[in-house]
Amino acid sequence: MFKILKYISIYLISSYLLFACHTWTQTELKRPPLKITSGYFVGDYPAIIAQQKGFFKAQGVDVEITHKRYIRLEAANFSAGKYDGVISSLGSFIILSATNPDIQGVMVVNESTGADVVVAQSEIKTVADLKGKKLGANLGGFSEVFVTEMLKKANLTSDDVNLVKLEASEIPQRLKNNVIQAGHTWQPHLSEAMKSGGHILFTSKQTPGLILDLIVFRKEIIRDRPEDVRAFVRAWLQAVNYWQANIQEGNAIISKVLKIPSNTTSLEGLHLTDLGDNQKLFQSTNPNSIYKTAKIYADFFIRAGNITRLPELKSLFNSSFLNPPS
Amino acid sequence: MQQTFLGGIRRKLIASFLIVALIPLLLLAFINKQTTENALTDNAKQALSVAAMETANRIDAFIDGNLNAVRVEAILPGLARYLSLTPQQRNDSPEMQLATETLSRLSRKDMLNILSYSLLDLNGKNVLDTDTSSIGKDESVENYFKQPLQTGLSFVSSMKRSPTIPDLVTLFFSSPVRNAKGDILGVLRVSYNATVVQQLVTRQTERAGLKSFAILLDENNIYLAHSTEQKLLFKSIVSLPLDVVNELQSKGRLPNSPVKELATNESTLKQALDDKQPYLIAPLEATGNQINLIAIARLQYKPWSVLFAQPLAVALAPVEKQIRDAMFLFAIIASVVTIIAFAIGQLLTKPIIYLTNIVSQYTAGNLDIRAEISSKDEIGQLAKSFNNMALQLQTSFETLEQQVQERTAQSIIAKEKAEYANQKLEQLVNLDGLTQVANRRCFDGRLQAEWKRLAQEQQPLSLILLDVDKFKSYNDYYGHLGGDHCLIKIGQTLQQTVHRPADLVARYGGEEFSVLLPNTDLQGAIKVAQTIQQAIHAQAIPHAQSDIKDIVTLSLGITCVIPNCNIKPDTIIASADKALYNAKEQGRDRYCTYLDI
Repeated sequence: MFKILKYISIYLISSYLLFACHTWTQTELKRPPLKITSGYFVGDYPAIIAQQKGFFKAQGVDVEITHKRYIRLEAANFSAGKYDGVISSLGSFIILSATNPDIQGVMVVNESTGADVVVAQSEIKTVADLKGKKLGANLGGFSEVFVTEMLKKANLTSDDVNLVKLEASEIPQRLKNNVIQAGHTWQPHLSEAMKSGGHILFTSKQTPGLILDLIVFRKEIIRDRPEDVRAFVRAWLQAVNYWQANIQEGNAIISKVLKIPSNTTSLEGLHLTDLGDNQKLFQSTNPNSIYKTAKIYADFFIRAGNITRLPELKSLFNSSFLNPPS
Repeated sequence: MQQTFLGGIRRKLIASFLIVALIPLLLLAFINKQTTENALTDNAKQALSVAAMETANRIDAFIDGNLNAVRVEAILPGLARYLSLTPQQRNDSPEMQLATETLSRLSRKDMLNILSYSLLDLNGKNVLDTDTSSIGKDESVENYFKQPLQTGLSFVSSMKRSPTIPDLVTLFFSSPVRNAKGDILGVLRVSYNATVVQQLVTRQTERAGLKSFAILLDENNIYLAHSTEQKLLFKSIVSLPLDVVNELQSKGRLPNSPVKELATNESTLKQALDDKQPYLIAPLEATGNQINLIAIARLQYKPWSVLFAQPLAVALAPVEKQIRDAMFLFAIIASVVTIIAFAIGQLLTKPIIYLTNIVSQYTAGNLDIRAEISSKDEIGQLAKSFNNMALQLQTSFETLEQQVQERTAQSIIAKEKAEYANQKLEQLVNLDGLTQVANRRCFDGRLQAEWKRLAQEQQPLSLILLDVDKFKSYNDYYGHLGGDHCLIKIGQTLQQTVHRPADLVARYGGEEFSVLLPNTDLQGAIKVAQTIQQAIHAQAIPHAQSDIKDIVTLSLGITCVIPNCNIKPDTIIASADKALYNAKEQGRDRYCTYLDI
């Protein structure tokens, strides 16, 4: 009798266990870190501060930031799916979106307010003097848009100058060798160009809201890990506030991580956009709204024959991560 | 014993129920598993194969499209015109401006992946480049320069690692630049970031199935793209011969790391590639030795292979779920069947246990017990049969007992009769037929026994001998019948006078009686003699012819002795006889004593 009861209980227990197995859902795997790539650009450095100060961790997201020398190549790698997110200029973002319509910019991280300059040889006094001259710029990106906007202000077009494709780092040398008469560059290359007689012809202060960087994520990340994106944005903004309140400490952290002298880190001419700035930039009625600027870039790329499709500007940005989830 | 036996029935029931219920389920699950596995493998194969083919087609289309593009771009007028100038004429010429602009415009085709457009002259010197840092370089050794010159056709290179920029892999398209006459003036080359091809490889993986991954291998089976393991890039699947390695290294197609770091060990895969198999199920060491289902597709325009792989476990995951479901079902059926079998066992064995109990009680002797018949099935019939049997047994048992009792009663009666006869016989032997007191034979036996007993105990034994006075004349006068009657009366009177059980009255012979008194001294014997004399007097039996009185009187001789084994018992008789003689001598109707010792 007891034996039979034992058998029955064994069957019952095993069936309960099997039932438990049946309804057992896979425990959620630990989410992999968000893989972000960025260049060696001071406007991207809040990422370093957020990482070092543990803001990402505190907000509940694991982030892996890679700094690459050749950020243009990284855009291709991002496009190939090697990263989850990229800190990209608005220009590269528009170009990327032509072949990756499923990416979204979630936050403007910095805005050039004078850091981008066109440096010219001494005989070029005004932008109008550039007519027929060679102008160095990194063609195909925001650099070309920037110089085109500059030319536009002097009623010139790119046909009135000879555009030469150059990296910002090459400008001082080419300017000195008279390969070009003016070129778009920034610090520390700017100081080098100034030393050999260059002078500032035009700065991004005159094109407010035109040159800015965004943090861009792939659609899968936005779709599958919205909380991570939100945490990333919060940590970033926290890092911006920290840095602006503790400039010395922030610079020290950066120089330690990147192994560069701390005096080369300067936020001059660059505005790290905070939550308020972002809210304004994402407002379509704002004259400097990101949508309007993106339209300038899109129009330019279409005119220049860079893109085949008109990007869907509305879906290109997603400001919902700036605010807590509704 | 009983428990084990009944437990046996239940256990057998449960076992057979389980076998009947579960074996078909097991067989079904097994067959189902096989079918599902095959179907899933086929599906996964197809999905992977489609993805691999599609990817191969995409890469082919990319290559073909770019070959076509570069072929046409190379014959754009500005380029030929610029190359037709002598190097001196070229500098700052309007042709140079046009050619520069042309290249710059062409590079806008893909801002993301085109690294540069450049013109090489017939010596392989880079004379114009959108990447200004490369202008002036000698590229005459490169295939992308030599091949178009030799064949006159557009050309696509192998993937090359950039010597200057880490992680940059480039792919070159080139085509001869011709003038209107068709003379080759130089080569137009486009350098692509090879990520674009890797992107084509990795893009399909989501659609090929969960956890699937894609691999692109070149003609030397070197990884050109891997959707999950970037670290494998530019390693071959098996070790290459040293000369091949050296050659590839010199061309930038393999990194300059030690030879053993340049290869993984996927010999099964190599074999399948060599045999041009479309499918393969094999472990891939480089991805954790998991067994993978691999589909292989080959490119049309390049000797490259596209592999799509999916871990077999992932492809067969639904089977696992099916097995889990089957096991769950198995357990449910097993428990339900066990419960049912147990219940049926209980139902079957309960009446059997009941019957068994009844039978044991019956066996123990309770013959009146009968089984209650609660059903009409076999068990009911069994109970009925048992009851019949019990009844028959009981009846025959009872009959038997009755017969035994009868026989026993008969034998008791027979025994009693025999005992009665024996008693009678003994009476006949020891009694005097006339007076109904003990006879002489009885007296002798008793005397002997008492003599022996009292000799041991050293107790006195008394004897009274008595004689009816003048009995001869009584006989003569009253006749022998009268005499007999007188003797009977005397015998009865004596018997009534002597009370103790050990005392014995006997007819000694003729008209003589004896009274044996054990454990009685002389005084006691005299008392008895006096009592006897008075009792006879009281009887007042008439005796007309007596000269002593007109009634019957007695003469008594009394003696007493403590017996001794050396003296014969006869002496006591002699002494009593002497005393009797004395009583007669002294006038009868009296007693005399005589003590010999």
